[in-house]
Amino acid sequence: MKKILFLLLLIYGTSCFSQKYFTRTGATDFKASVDFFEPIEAKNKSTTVLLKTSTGEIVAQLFMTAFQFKIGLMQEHFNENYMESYTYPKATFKGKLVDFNLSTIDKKSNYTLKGILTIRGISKEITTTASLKKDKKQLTFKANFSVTPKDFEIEIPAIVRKKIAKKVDISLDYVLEKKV
Amino acid sequence: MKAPEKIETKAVFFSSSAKDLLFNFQKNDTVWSSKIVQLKGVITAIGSKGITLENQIYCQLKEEQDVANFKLNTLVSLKGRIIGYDDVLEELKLDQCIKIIPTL
Repeated sequence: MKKILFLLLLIYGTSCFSQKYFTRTGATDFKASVDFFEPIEAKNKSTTVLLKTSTGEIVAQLFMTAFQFKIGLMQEHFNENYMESYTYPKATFKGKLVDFNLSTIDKKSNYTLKGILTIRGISKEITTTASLKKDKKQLTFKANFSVTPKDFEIEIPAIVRKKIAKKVDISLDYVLEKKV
Repeated sequence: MKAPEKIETKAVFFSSSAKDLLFNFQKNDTVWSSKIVQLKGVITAIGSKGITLENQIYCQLKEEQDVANFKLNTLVSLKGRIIGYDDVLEELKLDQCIKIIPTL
């Protein structure tokens, strides 16, 4: 009887304490470069990501001012003129990895990622494919998708329009650790 | 084309204890975005790319800084940039942090 009770408790325990994986230093990059012009790209290495492995629910959040550019003036323009980072400091993503199952991740590594991306207070639905890989204690999450400045009502002045791509490619590379 | 200014040469906006920053941040959280601060506090956690001060301030280290130079439960002085309040993990977040020697 004691054994059964113990077993029941164990099963209850593992299903009750849903596991979470997270990072504070995920890499979110974007590229809006046009050939023959100055590359327009930046890296944000301070993205916070939280994944609930029991449901596949995922939350990501980054601060606009933490995007690092190679050129100081470009970084300034990005924050002050285009993103208005002091009015809208964060970008967030709330979504789900469809049919995510941590226990079968060795067999299935690609999942549909669906969710809402909010930038400058404007929300847009994103659907893409994310790849996940488990490696002992870490879970590596990678995904790409594109957005347009128009999606988030970002106005590009005519004088620089030729130098900024119509489509902005965003790539996500997050190494998640188990949250204790 | 100049690179963005380095943290080492940037002027410090606020210099005090980590707890004092938390107190001031809670009073008014609108003025702190991108501000350069110098903080003294107890290290309560060490991660792979950063350390936590006083359980509530996550300090992501500048790339060439090594977490091996920090010891748990000791006092440290850091210079870094506030990026904002992370409401997913409920902590204040700094980046580009460098260790200040000696601990002031």
